[in-house]
Amino acid sequence: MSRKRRRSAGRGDLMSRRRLLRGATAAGAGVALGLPVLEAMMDLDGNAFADGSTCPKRFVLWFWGNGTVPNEWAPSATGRVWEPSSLLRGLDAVKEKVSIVSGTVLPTRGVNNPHVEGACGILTGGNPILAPEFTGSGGDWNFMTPPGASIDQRAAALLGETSFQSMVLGITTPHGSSGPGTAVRDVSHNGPYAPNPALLDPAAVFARFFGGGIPSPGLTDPTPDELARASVLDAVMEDAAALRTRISAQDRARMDQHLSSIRDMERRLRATTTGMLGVSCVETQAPTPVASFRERARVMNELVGLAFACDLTRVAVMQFSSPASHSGYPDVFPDGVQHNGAATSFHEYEHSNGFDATVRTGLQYLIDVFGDHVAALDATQEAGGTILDQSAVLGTSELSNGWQHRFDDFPLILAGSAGGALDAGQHIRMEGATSSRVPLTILRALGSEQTAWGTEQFETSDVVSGLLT
Amino acid sequence: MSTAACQGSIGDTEPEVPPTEVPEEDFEPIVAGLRTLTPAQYAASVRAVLGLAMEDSAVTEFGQWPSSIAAARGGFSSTSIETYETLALSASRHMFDNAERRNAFVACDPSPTCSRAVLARVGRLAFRRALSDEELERYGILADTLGHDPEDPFQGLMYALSGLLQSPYFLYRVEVGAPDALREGRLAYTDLEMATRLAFLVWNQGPDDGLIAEAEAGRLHSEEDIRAQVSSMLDDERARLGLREFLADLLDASAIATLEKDPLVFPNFDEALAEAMHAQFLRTAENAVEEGYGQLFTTRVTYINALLAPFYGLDETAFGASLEELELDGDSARAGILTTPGYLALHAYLGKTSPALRGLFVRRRLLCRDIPPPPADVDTTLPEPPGGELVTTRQLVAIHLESDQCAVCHRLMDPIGLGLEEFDAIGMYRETENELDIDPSGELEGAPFRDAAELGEVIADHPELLPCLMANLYAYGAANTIATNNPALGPLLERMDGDDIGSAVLSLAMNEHFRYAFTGESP
Repeated sequence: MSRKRRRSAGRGDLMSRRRLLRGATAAGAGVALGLPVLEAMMDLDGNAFADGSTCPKRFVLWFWGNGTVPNEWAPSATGRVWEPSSLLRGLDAVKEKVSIVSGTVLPTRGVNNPHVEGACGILTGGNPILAPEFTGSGGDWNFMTPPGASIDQRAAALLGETSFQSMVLGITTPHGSSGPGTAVRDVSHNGPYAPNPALLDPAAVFARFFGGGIPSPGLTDPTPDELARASVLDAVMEDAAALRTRISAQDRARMDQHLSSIRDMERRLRATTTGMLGVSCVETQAPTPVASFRERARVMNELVGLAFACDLTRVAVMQFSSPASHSGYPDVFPDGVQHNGAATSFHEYEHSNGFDATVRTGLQYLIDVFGDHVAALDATQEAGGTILDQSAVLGTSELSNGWQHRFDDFPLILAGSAGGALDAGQHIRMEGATSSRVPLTILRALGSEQTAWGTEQFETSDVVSGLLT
Repeated sequence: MSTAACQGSIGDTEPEVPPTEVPEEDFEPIVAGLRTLTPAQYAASVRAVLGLAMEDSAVTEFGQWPSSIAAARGGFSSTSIETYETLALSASRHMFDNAERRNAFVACDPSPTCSRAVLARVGRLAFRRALSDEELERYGILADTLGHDPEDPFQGLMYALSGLLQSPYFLYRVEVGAPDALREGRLAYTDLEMATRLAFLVWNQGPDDGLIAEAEAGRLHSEEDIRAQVSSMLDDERARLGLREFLADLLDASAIATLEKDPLVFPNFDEALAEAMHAQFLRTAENAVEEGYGQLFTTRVTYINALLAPFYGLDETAFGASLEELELDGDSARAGILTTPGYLALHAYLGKTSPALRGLFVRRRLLCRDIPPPPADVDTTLPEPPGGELVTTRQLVAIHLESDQCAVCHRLMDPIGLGLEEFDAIGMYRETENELDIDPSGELEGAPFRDAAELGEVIADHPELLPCLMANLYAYGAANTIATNNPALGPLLERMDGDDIGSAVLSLAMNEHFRYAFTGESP
């Protein structure tokens, strides 16, 4: 095992995470090294992690498809004495660190598919773009994409350079798309037609973020390999710059998006990381396959916690189910949900049956799994507190009422206090206010100075004032 | 664009085909530009550029845009940029990590001259044109300077190669055109761009060295040039899979391989079965490349392996893992691609069938008929049958057809899909549903049919089938949409030989709407 020694201000020698993880790969993939949790890792140079304030902030978007039920999901009491409603019972264990914003309305236009309008509206603050190739009447989600970057990617731009821009994960298989549309397939976007698809397989997630050849943040300068790859990207960017002068305005916008992503990656490769090591950043084993959605989500939660603790990324997306998802929830419906004697998707079932005991069970289940995620981040320690304390976690969907396609009393759940910027643990009811206030509030809590969010009817300059400290 | 600009053709004219009259409001050619590669095109191109065999597993398919029309519009996110980098490096390393393979690939001793020779040769295939001096030097310097392992004299070249595979000139098809003196307001695709367009159209991969040389020699310009080139390209073995890819794109085939079904209802449905369905579906499409498009909907020829045998009432132990060609009896319930398990499973829910989805695809994709989306505020609740009695899907969807709000669209879809009700949500044959007899009759735009086999015949005879095929081919090849009643489609159809798909491709390739682009400025 190679070791790199470096002087620190007060504490002893520091280990290079980068080298340690490399060593692990050479020794055989998936073998747990059981790295010692050194005091030195917790208190670098006598300043990082000495208190929670120097830990980075993180953002998580936790998304489920097909909404919930207005007037049922929100707690009855407001303020700090709120108790989770029946549908929110999955938040019981973490309610001190969760805030509910109820009563808002997402101001969609009502001209296109509601799942598309809702997803674009809450996630990007804009109306969907319909690809000009579509020739039919109305809109078709195979041809619709959001107008800009989603909140997670805006948070990523805000939160600084890490090895990975973001970690986009999913549990259930999203809708396919036969055209250029991405609005119901993917929740995370860098721009129109530039989606970050969710990784569904924990082993693939592990390989990508923690596997061999992918550098972890460490205390060393970039490796020769990283510098060489960065130089390759420089050449690629020169090609792109030359090509850019010969193409249409529309293609230039696409090329600019492409160039910006390459530039980000090139910067990340060249960055000398300063040694961000959370106490929970320890080597772990490659996950083994699990069948249950909820168990798989728990494995993903561990990986998110680990990536945050190791500062591999500061932004995660958990697309439990996509907008308009047609998944079933076999964890809670071992016999499936039935209509006319045949198993069908939860989405179809809701359309056929409206709110009944089965739908209640399914909606409770979604929040149970969300609650697992919040609890997992709260169980991941770093100096000065837990990862959750440094995070803003937004739990939301594309609709309020799934089967009636409504947007009033929109479900918005915030967990974590973003390093003290969010006053967690309250229920704020804002009857009729725009749901756009919540994304703006989150970006402000993460350190943005922007004063407005959204375009057209989604635009707002108002925050949820009781939430920001 | 002016009407005059659309008349006639440059170079040799076609005496038997009159000049096209296209009123300008009817047709707007696409703005010339960039197209990304589909996952299949990406993998095929990487293999071709590196000289690897088609089945070489060192190269994996990747891309966020499975269909051609999507790839024309789609962009790159941070995730895809990172993935393309990983894949480019792994393919590059593969060329150097084995001495024998490396020596065959490089074929010279390490030196700056050697690196540039390799980069020029590979770059020409990767960029689908010769590298400029400036480009060659840009990548040559990488090869000269990026090596940091003294044991590996080719390490810098390895990095430079990975750069070619990440360049926008590789990841995009650059088809921007050049002003054309004969066509005011139009851009002509250059000969090199035509080589790219034709190669992807016919072979579903980039042009090879020979085709690039033809373009460099100016032999991809006139209509006659293109007729000659495409005719010989169609005879190449790459054309069979290339044309099959057009049908796969049209029929959303790639979605079959990743289908999921309710494990309670279909405990035997797994990834391996989905892949078998996908493979059978592709073979059925490939057969239509040989036999004609209409036959796709009526053929009794199918392809079966052990996993698919139970769907056909056959003994699975009599089959192995690979597909065997089989001809079904004339009285089989199955005929044509709509009765393959792949189609039936793709257009169904997790556990139950959907006549609406099965019919929607026929109407919208195969016949290019519009169907409006459900109104945003529609109440889609389908009540359970009264008395809790289980009924057939036909009885259940009758509600759609009785409600005015639903019937306006559902009467256009459900009566088509009901013809496939003898097949469940994974395409298994069934005589009854909820112990009630199934009636597989229906109608398509007034043409009645008794069962799925007759539905296939009705589709094969439908007057809109070939116009819609051509419109789909135009969307596939030119990344632009055209309505089936557009007069510009007339000349394209006239040049088709019956329902032969190769002739449709040839007709498109020669057509001026494939060879010229719109400038993007207001006409």
